[in-house]
Amino acid sequence: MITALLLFWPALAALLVLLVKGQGAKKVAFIAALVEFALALFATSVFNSQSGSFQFALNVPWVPSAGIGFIIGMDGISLLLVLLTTFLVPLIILSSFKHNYKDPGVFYALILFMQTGLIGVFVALDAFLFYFFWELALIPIYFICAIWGGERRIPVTFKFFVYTIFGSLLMLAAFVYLYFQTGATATSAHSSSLLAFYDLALNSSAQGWIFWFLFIAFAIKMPVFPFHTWQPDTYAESPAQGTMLLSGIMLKMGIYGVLRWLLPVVPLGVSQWTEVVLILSIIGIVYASVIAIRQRDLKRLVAYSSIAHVGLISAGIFTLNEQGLQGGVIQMLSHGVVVTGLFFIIDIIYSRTNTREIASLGGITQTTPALSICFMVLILASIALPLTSGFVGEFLLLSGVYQYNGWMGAAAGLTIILGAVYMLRMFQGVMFGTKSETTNSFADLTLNEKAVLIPLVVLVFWIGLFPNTFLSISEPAVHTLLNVIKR
Amino acid sequence: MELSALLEPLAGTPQTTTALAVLLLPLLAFAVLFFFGRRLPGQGGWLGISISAITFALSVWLFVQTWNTATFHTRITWFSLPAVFTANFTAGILIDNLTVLMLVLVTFISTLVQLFSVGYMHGDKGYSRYFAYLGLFTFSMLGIVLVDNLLLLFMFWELVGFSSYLLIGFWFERPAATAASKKAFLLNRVGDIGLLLGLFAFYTCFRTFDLEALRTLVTAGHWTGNGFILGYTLNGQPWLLELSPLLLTLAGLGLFMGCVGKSAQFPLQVWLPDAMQGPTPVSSLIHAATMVAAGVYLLARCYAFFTVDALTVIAFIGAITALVGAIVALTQYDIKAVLAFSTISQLGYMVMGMGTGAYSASIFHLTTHAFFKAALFLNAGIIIHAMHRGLHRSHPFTHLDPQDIRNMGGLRKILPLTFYTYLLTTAALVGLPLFSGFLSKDAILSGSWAWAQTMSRGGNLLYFVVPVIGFAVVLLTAFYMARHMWFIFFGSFRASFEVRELRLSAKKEIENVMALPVILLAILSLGIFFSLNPLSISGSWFLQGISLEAPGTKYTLLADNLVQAVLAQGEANHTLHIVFGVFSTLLGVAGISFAISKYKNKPQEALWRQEPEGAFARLSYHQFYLNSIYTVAFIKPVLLLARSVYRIDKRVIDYTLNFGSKLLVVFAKIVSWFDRLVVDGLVWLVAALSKLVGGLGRNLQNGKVQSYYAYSLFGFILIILYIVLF
Repeated sequence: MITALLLFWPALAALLVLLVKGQGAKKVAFIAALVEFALALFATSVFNSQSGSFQFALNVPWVPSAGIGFIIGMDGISLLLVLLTTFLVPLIILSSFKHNYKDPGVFYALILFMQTGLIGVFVALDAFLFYFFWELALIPIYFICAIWGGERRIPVTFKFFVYTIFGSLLMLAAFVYLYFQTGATATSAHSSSLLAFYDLALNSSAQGWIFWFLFIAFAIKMPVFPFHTWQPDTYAESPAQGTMLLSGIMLKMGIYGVLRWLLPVVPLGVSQWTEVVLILSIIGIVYASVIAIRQRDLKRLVAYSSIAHVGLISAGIFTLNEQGLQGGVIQMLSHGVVVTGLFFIIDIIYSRTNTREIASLGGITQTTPALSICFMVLILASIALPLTSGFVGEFLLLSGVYQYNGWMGAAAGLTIILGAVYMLRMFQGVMFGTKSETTNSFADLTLNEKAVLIPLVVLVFWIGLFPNTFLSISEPAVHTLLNVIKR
Repeated sequence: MELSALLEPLAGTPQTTTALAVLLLPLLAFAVLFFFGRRLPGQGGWLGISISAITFALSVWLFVQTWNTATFHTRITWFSLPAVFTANFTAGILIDNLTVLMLVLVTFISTLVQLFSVGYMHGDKGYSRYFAYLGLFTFSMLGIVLVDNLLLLFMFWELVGFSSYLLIGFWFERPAATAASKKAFLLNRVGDIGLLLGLFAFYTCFRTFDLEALRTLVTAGHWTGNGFILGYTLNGQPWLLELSPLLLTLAGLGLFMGCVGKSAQFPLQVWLPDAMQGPTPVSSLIHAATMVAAGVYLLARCYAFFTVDALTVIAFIGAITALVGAIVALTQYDIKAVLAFSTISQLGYMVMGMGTGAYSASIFHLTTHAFFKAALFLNAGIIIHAMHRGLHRSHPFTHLDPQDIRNMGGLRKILPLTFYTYLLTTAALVGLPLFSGFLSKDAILSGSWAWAQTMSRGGNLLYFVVPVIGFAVVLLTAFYMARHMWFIFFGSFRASFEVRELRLSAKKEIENVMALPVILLAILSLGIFFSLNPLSISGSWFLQGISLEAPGTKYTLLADNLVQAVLAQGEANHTLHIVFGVFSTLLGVAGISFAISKYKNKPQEALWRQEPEGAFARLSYHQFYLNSIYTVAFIKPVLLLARSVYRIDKRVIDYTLNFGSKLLVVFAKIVSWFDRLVVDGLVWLVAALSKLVGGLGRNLQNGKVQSYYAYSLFGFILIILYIVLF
């Protein structure tokens, strides 16, 4: 039942927020999101982390005659992503307190709606239900970007929409095909439940086809090279909260989709194409890192860095070894925390200076000790310094890739240098050096901004120092997953 | 042999617990000083120093307790991955002679440098931040020394790089300092990739990062014609490995790459001279005595894992570095640059020693070098400080480089204490008899000669290049240090203000807190402290303690046959040692006399205006143009690549996909047009979709649509709720 509560509470709260007039909506939304986080914490406390099976499951026939069920439940991987979502959403809402968006009721209702969609994706155990939430999550963010975005928002969000719809159609086609391959149940000829999909024994050429349909769908969302070009534009044009939602949480939908609906469903297809995917991912790492080096706009720089990091996650999980998968899971958390923080800091800088150009910034650190420390910690996590969250993930991922193939490990390892190149360049350009006209009267963090950044920084160290807190939750699930894949 | 049995947790001992305290105290200092330093009385510098002094005292106690006794090892299970073929990941503290030696060295110099900094950094607005960073550095460095496995070592290794980044860029408002800090961090990371891959390689073969377990595994294996054969069981499952020599060599060279980065070996050495942008005491502690020695320490720790081929590469890289550093030092004018290149050159010696099997000699040189080079840098700091004082007192607006030795001269009489300590430590660096450098350098030179003899038994005399370079560098070192001292201390003062302005006051040369560390370090560059017979290393208590035969270090090496043969050859060369001692002394004297005769009769004006003349001098002055070469070969291409890839991204990939999506829209329009004309009820879904796609962009300006949409979404959710709940 707790899963259903987690799933529907944000949607109900969104209704409530819609009714609130004026800027009071943000407070109601914030409290609702906190309640949701508390629910997730409660779920974690009663979660049996020894078991790799789905817990808090709910199975209600939805369309019994067609074998489509409303099946939800969480294993360790789902739980961690639900935790990440419920942790980030209140912070993202809090981060918007200094803005006075028009139509606040709608804005915050859309955020909460999106949360329902996201959590739905992470807990759905039926293919059509998963598809439904996948689309549901897309629509609110589309409106958030298209209404509250920057100048070029209309063409950019349109591009984003077309891209993802295209991916979704491929996924739907694959699901429909898989659905018709499943055997009969008591009430219907076919079934769309996850377990029915796991039981499929398709021949390898069919698996190869389905692999590509699903992979492209998820690859667009992640995004993996060469399906990434919607992302920098969309990140740059979205309002800060939209970017944080997209990069911090929504991107994980794609990775989660691979873990839950691709690897175990078509293992033969995966094994046929593993090398291609790894090569694409590694190209993506180097490619996006190299591009990031020359970016002048802070948001675009972080957007490309995000592509590079996701490339490594994708490479790691496709190696199908324990290190790679666990590294992927922990890096999803780390990346979510770090990238949300970075985009928030960019928003802080933008709201004070009205620019995101590195060249016109500089010398900020002289008057802002608190901002400097937070920014530095997030940068360090992003370049995987030990004791921060990024190290755990990147180390496990790289060791997973190395065990798959030493040369690929070496190529993926370039991220260690290139990541440091663009991140330090950014930090140096923005924070160090002499003050410019735009940064002359730069004020340090306000209380509200600290309230957003400090939890993020704490989590960066928490994951970095005690990764076992999180790894132990996902471990049985990863183990079960590997057993399903290698069945 | 069961691998997991090698990784059993080991209970704590008083020694390891003390070591843990030594490790954590500087971290505590960092935390307190970083967050509350400004609010502490005196900005908290005393706190950093007293914590350092305590860690030093504890280290000395540990040294006395454990030197030449046994290995103390405490280990816990860190985390585990449940797969069948992985062993537990462990974490722990390992104490042997090498550990306690490094502990004492690091904490001692760290304490002295912090004491010195009280004077040097006085009045700086980042005073407490400075001491906080030093605490972070000490913590990371001690971590490298104390941990018992390669994974933890790598973590501290990275942290050392980061604290070095912070300290080089300490004056972050100076663009040169931030650029230098970034350069140092990035070049170190280039090395770290190698280290990481080497680590993965060993882990993939041996399934553990634990140093003792790794050494036990290596000892259990043996070489055959095809490679290295090793069998062990893991969780009851037997594994038989046959590792090719190439793989092991590459893995070893991966580890060595970490050393190339951190210890500024050719070709990554270019970051170290730039790192002199940091405060001079930092250069003394980090970029001369301790951090840059971490690479050599890594080689020592992992000595069992290098094959003969890997050691050969290491020997040659070390020799090249020693030569390149010394040649570049010949023509530098910046007082710190000369010392920085000298450090590179001496690190080259140490690495060369490691590569040629002169393991203990190399650690010995690491130790002696740490003392005299730290003293030299602190002395340079005193001189720079004095030059600043002079400039400030007399000509506040004069633009004159206070670090340029061409602006100095004749300081012998006005700064006598500095002069004599400089003289002592220079003698140690050059390697004159009775000084510590003589002993350690001699040990490396004779070791490398024995290695060349052993290696060239097949007839290939190329290996003698290494010891020959070693001897040549003695000559070069003597020359550049004599030149250096001549420019600073002899002749007459060349800057445009009164030389007596350099003194603190007429009666006092420098502050006591700055004088004491220098004096102590200078005294420690005497050979008598390391060997009772200061002319010979035979019977040195020190060398015996760190030799490969010392207690707790008896493991077989991958290159065991070679190293044993080299050691035997070294024993056989007994009389040659005396010849080498005399020969290297003669080389040193020759270098000094050559420098003196070159500069003695030059007029002061000529020294003041001197520029490098001739092609060779310019090549040396510009560091063989390595920085420009790297700019042309790596930085520019990467930037060009970045620009063109970005263009491709926008113009090709994005365009293609845009084109595809345009087709989709056109298709949607056609479908919708078709739909409208044919009005077929069955295809209403397609039309709705196409309208959605085509129409969303258009309707957005209409502010109503979003709330309209939201309401319909709610309706949808309500229906689902209805289905679920009833």
